[in-house]
Amino acid sequence: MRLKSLLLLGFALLLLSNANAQLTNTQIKEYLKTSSFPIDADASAVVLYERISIDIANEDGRYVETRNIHKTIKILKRDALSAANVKVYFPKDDYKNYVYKLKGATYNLDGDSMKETPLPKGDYYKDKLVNEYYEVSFTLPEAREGSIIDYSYDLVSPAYGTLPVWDIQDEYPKLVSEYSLLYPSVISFTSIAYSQKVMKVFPSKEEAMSAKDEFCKYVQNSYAAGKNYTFWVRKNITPIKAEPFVINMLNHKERMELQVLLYNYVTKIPYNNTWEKYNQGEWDDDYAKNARKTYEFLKEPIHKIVKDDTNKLSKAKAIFSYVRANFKTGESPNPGDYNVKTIFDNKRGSWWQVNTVLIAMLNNAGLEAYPMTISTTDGISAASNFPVRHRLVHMVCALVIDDYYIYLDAGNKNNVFGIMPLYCYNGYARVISQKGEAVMLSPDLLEDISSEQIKITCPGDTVQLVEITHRYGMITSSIMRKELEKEKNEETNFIDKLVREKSEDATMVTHKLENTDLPDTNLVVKLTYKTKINGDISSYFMNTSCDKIFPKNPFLAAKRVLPVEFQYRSTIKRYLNVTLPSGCTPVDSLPNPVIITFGDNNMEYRKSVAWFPEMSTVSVNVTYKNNQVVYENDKYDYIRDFYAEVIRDENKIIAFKRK
Amino acid sequence: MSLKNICLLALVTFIFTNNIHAGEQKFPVSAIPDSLLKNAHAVMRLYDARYVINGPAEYTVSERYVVTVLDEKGTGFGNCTEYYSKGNSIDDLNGFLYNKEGEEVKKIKRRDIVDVAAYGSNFVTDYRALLHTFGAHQYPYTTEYEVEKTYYSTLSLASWTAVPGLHCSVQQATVSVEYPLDYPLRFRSKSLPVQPVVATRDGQHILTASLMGFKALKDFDEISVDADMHMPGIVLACDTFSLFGTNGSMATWKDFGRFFYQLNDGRDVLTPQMKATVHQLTDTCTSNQQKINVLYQYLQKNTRYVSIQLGIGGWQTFDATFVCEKKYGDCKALSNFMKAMLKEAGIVSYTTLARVGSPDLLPMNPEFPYNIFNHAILCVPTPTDTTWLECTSASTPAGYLSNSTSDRKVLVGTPEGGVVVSTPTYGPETNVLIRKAELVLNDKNELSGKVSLNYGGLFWEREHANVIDAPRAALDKHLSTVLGFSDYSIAEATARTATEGKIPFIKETMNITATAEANASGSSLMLNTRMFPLLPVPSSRADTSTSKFQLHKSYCMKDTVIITLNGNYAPSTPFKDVDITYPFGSYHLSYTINGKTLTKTSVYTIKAGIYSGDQFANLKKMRGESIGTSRNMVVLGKL
Repeated sequence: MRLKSLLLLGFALLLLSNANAQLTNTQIKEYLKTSSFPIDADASAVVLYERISIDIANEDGRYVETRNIHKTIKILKRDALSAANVKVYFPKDDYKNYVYKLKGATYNLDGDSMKETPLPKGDYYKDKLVNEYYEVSFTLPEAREGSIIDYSYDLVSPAYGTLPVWDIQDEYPKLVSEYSLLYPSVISFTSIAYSQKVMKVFPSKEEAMSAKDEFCKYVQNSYAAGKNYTFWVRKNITPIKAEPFVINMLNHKERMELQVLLYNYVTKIPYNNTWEKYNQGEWDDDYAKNARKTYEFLKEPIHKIVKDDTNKLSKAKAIFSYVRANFKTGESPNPGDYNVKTIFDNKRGSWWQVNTVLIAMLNNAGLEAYPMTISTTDGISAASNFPVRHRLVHMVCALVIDDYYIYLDAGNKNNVFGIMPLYCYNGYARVISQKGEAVMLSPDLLEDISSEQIKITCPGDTVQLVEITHRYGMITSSIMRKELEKEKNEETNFIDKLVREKSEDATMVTHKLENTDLPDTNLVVKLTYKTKINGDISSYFMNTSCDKIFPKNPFLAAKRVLPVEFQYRSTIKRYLNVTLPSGCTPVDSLPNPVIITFGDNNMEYRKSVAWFPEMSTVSVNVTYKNNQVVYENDKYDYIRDFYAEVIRDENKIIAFKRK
Repeated sequence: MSLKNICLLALVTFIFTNNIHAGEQKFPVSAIPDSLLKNAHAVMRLYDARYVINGPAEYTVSERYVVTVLDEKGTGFGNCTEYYSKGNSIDDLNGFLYNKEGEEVKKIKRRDIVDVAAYGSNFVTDYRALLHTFGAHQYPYTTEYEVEKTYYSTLSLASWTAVPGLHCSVQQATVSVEYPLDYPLRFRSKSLPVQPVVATRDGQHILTASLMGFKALKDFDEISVDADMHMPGIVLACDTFSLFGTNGSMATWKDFGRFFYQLNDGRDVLTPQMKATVHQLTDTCTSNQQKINVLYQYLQKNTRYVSIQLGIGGWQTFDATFVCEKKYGDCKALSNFMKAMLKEAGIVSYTTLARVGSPDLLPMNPEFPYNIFNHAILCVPTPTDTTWLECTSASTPAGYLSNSTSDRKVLVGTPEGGVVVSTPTYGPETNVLIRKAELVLNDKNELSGKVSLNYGGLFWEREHANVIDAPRAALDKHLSTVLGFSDYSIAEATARTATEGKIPFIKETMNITATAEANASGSSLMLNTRMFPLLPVPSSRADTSTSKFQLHKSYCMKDTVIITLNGNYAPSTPFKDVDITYPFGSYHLSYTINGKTLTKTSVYTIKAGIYSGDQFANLKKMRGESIGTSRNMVVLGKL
């Protein structure tokens, strides 16, 4: 590199390193005196400043990424002291991977002056975690409530196609978060920001940093010596807080993702920068190729399974049942090997391998089946315009019958035909076929319908006998069967837990589980238990919802930030018949029928009560329905009120007097 | 006999005495007796451990364990997990996989052994583990591992546990411990049907023990008796030991305490600035107790717990100057730092060794010193009392010990040696929950008013993390779950800590509006007065009619509910007061009504202890009385 270019680069870098929002000593002292921040008065800590700077450079023919991390955090409460214990993880590679230039300090108020306690040089620990994964650990000294901790380090590694995600939103509020990228101009990349704030571009970095706008960007191409520079800053970031009824918190976190689109260095091939290219890559991958091949060895097993059945749906069900029952998923004896015969003979493999066999068997039975790659609720959803391959971590089967897709996952013996485990419904997915197709896997594809019949009789003056037949919906049946597996097949414990949920002072008489080994049917639980009568020799009172649909209002918070999300649509029906002690009559008139609805009847609760004096029987029918899986947060008050009203109704008591 | 034959004989003898596995000894599944299959997910076919103690500074352990895994839930028993650190090394590891006929199908490969850091709850440690699994999936299968380890310290002689865990039977487990004639080894066995035997051979003592045909244990539950939860085995200890080159004696608890004291002696020197701070804080105090409280609060506000366990640092504390400068440390370092501050203030205290959680084999025994410890606290004796200090806690008040360190024997390290003492045991007067609701019932069957909840002792421990320093939203959310109503809203909720004597309390107050379970019609009113939830009855899978059970903690719950009604009422049927007492506890319930005011008081008490199985039905009955609707539903007639 020529001297002039070197000098220019050095000057530019100097400018860059000085032109940032890193705190001055004066600012730190002011913040030391601050005990509460308007951005979140309840916060245990506030990130005063955060910077992630990435510098991609070509060194000896390969791209190396140097990531500089700098954080300044104000500790407000003791439970945030863990922020002072820092671990940095890195994989060892054949090029240099390590943590460099580690610096840190803790600031405290000492009277009116500021005391700085530096992290002593070399005061860190390096350990090998497992295989080639390492960590460097350090802990800031003198950290306590009110302290400000500050640390920075460089992390060096080979450059990958996907750049580090900018986690804009985290558990603590942030006053300033910066992300910058200095990269060779032969590389181009794309970014996608998940944020409520509109990003505004400024002509200079200083203007971006000082602007009142809360999401700012600055770009300088041909910055120096064949490098481009992009800088983002986000200000006043509220923390993300967990709320109930959110399927995947990660999808709601504010963040920015970057992916290299292509690099044009000599004759390098562009990255998979479209879903079409992704599909092509997957279509040519071993698992997809093997799943569509014809196999002689499969003929006999398939014939044994389907026999002479010509109906596509029943053939598919039979094959699915076979794979589900006979293959075990878990640690694969042959990781990465998608040879269908090997997996078939082992009867074991990863989820990806087992579903490859399922797809191969369906295709070999004359059906049409494709792999479908999906993200799960353990991670962020894939985006339609942003093919991040590593986000699609799971593979299931997309079966086509009469132009409709049926989704199948044979990885667990309790999975249901046509219903995948709930964690699979995480948004954007890809069917890997010749042309490829996008699919949205949303919870509103799922519906669970359950019913319960309860019969109560009073064989004596003090005891009542409760007989319950509960028929679970298909989704809850699958969940319950998996719970039963976890209880180490001790049915009694499982039942005991169910009974305790219904009545804490119940004494079990009989119990029975039906269809436990038939995953494509409804699980039925039959219970009979005794409990004390509600009343005495002269009066009897019953709660019209002795088995409440909602024992507690699940929506307790006064406010809501995130949408309310349900994992599936549901219908619950309950039929209660109570045969009273002889001679009982209602004290007052019975309650009128109740209808409580919300949101164009998407949420509905209905109850009716009838009295049959000749049989001394009260009959109560209840139906609850929820037909929508996502409600925006502006509907939250209505949802909370709906549940409150249902609970009020469920708490009503009818009194009966005995002659 | 010719030289050649002698060599041949020696070789054959060597082969057989070293139990070469392959082809010589099979473990077909069919050879497992049926009695060992019940409740078992795995069967330990053979466990042979050989200890060779060369002296106080080193001993070796050779182990061979053969496990048949019966089903998926037993997989963990068939894997290999061996720990090591600076204090020991793993010299050799071999493994084999057999099918159900007992034929070898696979052998361990070095590249399949995974070496991982074993942090546990430590921030930094030198503990690591070697892990291996054959990844077999066709059940049943059998694995065999042979391990050779060397230990460089006999402070913690690895005790022998014959049973690897619940749901695992043992067909044959044997142990032999070879040690020099003059080596002061001691042992205690636990639940072994045949007592260990010590013989003398070739100038060595050999201790041998075995366990045969042990049937798998099912899960323990909340009321299992502590003593029954210990696995069969042998605890080993020696009177003299070496720890990273430092020699010590464990012949008596006094000796061991002295060793620990001397190992850490002289490390309690403060920096001049810290000394000045101590005097600044305490010179105006009027009593030693006040000094203790002030310095303890300083420790809690200014230091934090960070566990760094490296080498001898697992036993020897960081200097007090380290904590002075960095303001963090583990339990030993923080206790030592506190001790140094007290010393500067003229108060004597002693770092004390304790065991947190249940030990695997034996609890601390005054007659049998052995290393059982995993925690350090501080003992500050005063003429009339002892103040215990938990130096790793930012919230525990001085003098109080939490559930993890109370009610047990500990070893106080004094210059004269160790002293075994008992930490406080807290009864129902300490572990007390006092709840009071003063509510008004309106015409819409809503109850509104004030609720106060006071959590003491054990209840304080459980409640503390939920409320203190919790964000407003989290506090409100938690308080929305502490009452027995299906739906209620809260306002003006507060939560603060308080101390009464040495007992910590959390005091919560809130105004609520709740949906009552009620029916008012014409002249009568039915109302469910159960406002507060109870702790659940411990569950038990045992046949409690024949076995004993244990209630582990004493506690008392006192509830008062005062409801102002919307009219003058009298009971339509007499109130069902309750007054029952059993050996394990009692429950008292009473109602009074005076015009518009209905008052319900109840006291529910549990006493810790071991009780005969036939009392369990009474325990369930007592709880049934407290939660049953018939006791909580009142029917009132309007006057």
